[in-house]
Amino acid sequence: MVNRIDPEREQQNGERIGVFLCHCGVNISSNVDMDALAAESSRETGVAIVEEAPFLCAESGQKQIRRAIRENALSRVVVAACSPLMHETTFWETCRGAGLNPFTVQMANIREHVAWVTPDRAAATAKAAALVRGAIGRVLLQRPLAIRKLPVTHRALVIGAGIAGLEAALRLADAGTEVVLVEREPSLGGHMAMVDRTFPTLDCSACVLVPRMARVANHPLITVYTSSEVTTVSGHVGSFRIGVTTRPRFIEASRCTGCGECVAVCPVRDIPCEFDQGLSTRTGIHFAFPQAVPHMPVLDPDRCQHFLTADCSKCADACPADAINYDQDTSRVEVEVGAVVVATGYDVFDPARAPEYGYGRWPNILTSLQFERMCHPSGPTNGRIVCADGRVPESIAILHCIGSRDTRFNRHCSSVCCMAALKFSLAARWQTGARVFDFYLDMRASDKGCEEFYNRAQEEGVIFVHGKGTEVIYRDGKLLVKAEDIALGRRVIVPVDMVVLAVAMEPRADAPKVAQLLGIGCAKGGFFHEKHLKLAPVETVAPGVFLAGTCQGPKDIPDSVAQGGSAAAGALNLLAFGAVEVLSTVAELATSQCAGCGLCVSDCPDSAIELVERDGRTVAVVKDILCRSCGSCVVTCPTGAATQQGYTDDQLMAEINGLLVSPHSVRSPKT
Amino acid sequence: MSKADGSRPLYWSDQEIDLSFARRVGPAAVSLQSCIQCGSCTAACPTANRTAISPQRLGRLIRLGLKDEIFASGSFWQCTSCAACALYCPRGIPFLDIVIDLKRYARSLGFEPPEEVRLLCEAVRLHRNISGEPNEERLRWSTNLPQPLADLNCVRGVDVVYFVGCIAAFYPRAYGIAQCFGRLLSHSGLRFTTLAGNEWCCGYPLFNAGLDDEIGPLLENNLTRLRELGATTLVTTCPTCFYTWAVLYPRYAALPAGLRIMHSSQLLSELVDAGKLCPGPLERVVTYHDPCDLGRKSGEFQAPRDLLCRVPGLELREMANSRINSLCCGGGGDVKLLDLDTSLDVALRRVDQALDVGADTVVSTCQQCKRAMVSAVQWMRKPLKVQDIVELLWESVADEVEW
Repeated sequence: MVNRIDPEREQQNGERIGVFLCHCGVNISSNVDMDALAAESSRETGVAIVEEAPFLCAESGQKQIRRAIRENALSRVVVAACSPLMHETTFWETCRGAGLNPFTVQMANIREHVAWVTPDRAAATAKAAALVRGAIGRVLLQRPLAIRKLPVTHRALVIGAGIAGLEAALRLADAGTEVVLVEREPSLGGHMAMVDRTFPTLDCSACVLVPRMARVANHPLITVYTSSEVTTVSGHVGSFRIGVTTRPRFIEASRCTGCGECVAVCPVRDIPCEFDQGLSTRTGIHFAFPQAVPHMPVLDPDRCQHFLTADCSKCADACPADAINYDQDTSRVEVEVGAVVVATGYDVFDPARAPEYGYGRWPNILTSLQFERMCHPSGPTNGRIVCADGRVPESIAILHCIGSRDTRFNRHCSSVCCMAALKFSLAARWQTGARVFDFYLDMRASDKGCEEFYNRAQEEGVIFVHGKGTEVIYRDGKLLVKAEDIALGRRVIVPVDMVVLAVAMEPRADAPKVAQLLGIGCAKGGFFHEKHLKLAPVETVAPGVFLAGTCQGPKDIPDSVAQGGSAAAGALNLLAFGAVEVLSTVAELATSQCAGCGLCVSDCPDSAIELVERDGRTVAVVKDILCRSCGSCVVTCPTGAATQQGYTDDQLMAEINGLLVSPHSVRSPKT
Repeated sequence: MSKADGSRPLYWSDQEIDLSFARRVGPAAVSLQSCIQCGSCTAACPTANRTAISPQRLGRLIRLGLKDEIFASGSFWQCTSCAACALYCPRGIPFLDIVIDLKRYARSLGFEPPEEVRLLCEAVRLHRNISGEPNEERLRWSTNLPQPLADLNCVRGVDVVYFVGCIAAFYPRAYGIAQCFGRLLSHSGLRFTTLAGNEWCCGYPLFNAGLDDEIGPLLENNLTRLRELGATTLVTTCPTCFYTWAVLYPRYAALPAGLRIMHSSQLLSELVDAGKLCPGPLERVVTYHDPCDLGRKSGEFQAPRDLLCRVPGLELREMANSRINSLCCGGGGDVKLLDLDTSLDVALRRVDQALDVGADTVVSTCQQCKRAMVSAVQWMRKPLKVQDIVELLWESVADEVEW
């Protein structure tokens, strides 16, 4: 398990330090006097050589470091360059290649912390020299540390069974990995199951989605938990312990045949249907939607007569399979997985928050998802676009950016609404021949085939109005949309029969809770934070936790699928390697100094410390494998028994000392 | 308060907007539904800064059928027909076609064109030429040459017919173009004739004024007369006549099989290549102005440049806008007739470009471009020579010749 790198090179005395200064093209050298920095650094105790390079991270720069280590028998290395976040691991590997332990390498950030933040060359050079001095002081005291290899459980968790989660689950399972798929709703499918057609090809959403749902449900390596949520997470990359809580369906899954007899007899029939976005009603015991997978009804205990008055058991009586179980309870299972894919999707903006659009106040004002359901052949109107009174609308306005790009609600662009709006406008033109007005701010049609899709909508006679629909009022049976036609430079009032609001995609309301549970972060707009927008777009700060789909930010189906695949690849990468390499900068508890108070045990967020009896004393010990190097115990320990390897007091003090001591150029010759 | 008043919001009821308007204007106007209101047409239009309604806005008004505002402005008459709008439109909307269709549609609704345009069209209808003079005097340009040209008057069996065009025939400032071209052909030994008094206006002025349904008799006369002579090549010095013969006529009638329609620059280029004409040296710095009708609208950019490059000692420099991106001279459409200031404003910009490259001569292949740029040069009082290509070539050839 423990794998020490080249321990025989470990020396306590007579260290030879190599200092490498990176120009980063002109990023650093334009603001820092590199010659002065080299001269200043070379005077420090223990420094054997100082070298400069235009790009240390480049192949040539790395070669230069390795050659210098060998030729000068260096035992310690300081790299003064960019942020360690960017290249620390690069230089660890470089020095490892020349036989040094990574923990004998220290970086000084003279780019982000120096060159990029001041135009004052003299001050920048002085600060760079101080940072390099601190790094030299610290690296002298650093000890080679082991790199730990932890075992990995060859199983993955996917949270959310929308199109991104389904893709990730299938990719993982098809590669031979066991998958646990947890879905909050009673059926797989997510928002895509509500969609009628998908832009820009206008193929039927269900036709591509439903077979996938079935394949996931029947896959021998995938275990599906619907009506379920992840409620606890512990452990670490390679070995997470996940608690899954399942709400009762009040149906015995093993018996139910999905015949629907129970639904037919249910006397409660006036519940607004969630799946149809309130445009239709459903029964107390109901199918989430006709193609639901698993194909099994679910009973709504909040509206069921059996639960409210205890005098109804019509569904149980009607069930030919005796599958109704009113006594079913919440259940909980615990699973162990090596990696997690988070695909929890998005919420839809509630336009009632922007009262100027009259949503919920005037008739025939729909959200995009409601219009989607209206267009769907198995939706509330069997696919017919009609007003509340049954009339076919003669004119329809589609308003972009409702709740998006609006500092009152969401600053972000929801990315898919422009194309969804075009899809709606085409559906409306083709089905009803209505006059369609599309009020847009910017038409964002950047994905493949989308600009052509825009052209098509134009050619079908949709009237595009450059200008945001700003207000909707109701007068004499007409909805009046107020806007400016920017091309005309005129205020316009457009009377229509129906208004469709292209509402924003928002982060899930419980995203902060989920983020906390998984140890990942939410970005400014509230969507989950990827580790690096460009280079690690599906990874998170929590090793082993990956993101897929709209939980990371608004995106369309192709991008969600791509990200689902990418997240699966990230998880597979980890699982296929069979082990996780982690830093051994774990906490250390000096038994002789431990008072056994247990404060560290309660403060440790990873449950990595426990109290044990040893030689008649109660002392705390660290379980290395669980420690995530947060340092809480070091701060908490009243006796100073806790230290964190790689961050010991003497190492940190040496660095601070180096920062504070006056530079050689102003020190008196005597010292 | 009029409907065009901008202070109150427009109410888009069925009475106010008229979505079938564009279809009534013509098939080209229907393509305005693809407009993304980027304003490229406005940015490209040489006269947009002097019209009440910009091309982009005009397009939007047509799309929505706000006809009162369109017809009240009359901005579409201030078009030089340079087609830069259509060139730069990222959606490929043929905006010039729309403007011409709009003129036709306006007339069909009883909106009269500006008086100058009406008189011009009247002259063509009555006299078969734009100046309204007796048409049989079409050879006036040839009367004061030191040595008369042979065969000018409708000679049968001559291969090449020179279609002189109304301006070179009737406007003294353009006589030189016909004179130089005739002498060049004669000097090269090529036999040619003209339709003389049987030549009728090509019809472009009517087409451009939205009266394309009246082109028929003109087209028919010109074709019949050409057939009578049995010529195989028709050559013009006017790029608009060239465009009309080469591009517009085939839309209305079948031209004689094998008929070559050439512009003077193309024919002269061939004659120089064949060694029939030998340009003498001219120590000049020349820039070439592409006429819209020959370049952008007919696709001929190279022949005039090749010809200029055959003149020894001549240095050819390109202006900021050249070839397909050429800038209008201001002389196109009927703008020079309607609004001299606007025409001059455009011409000044073009002449500035010629001065910017240090040219001592700006050469064009169009009598109308020459007239517009001469006006600008005179107004600016700059020592810049404006010539048609045939004049420059004659200058280069004539030094070697005794006339």
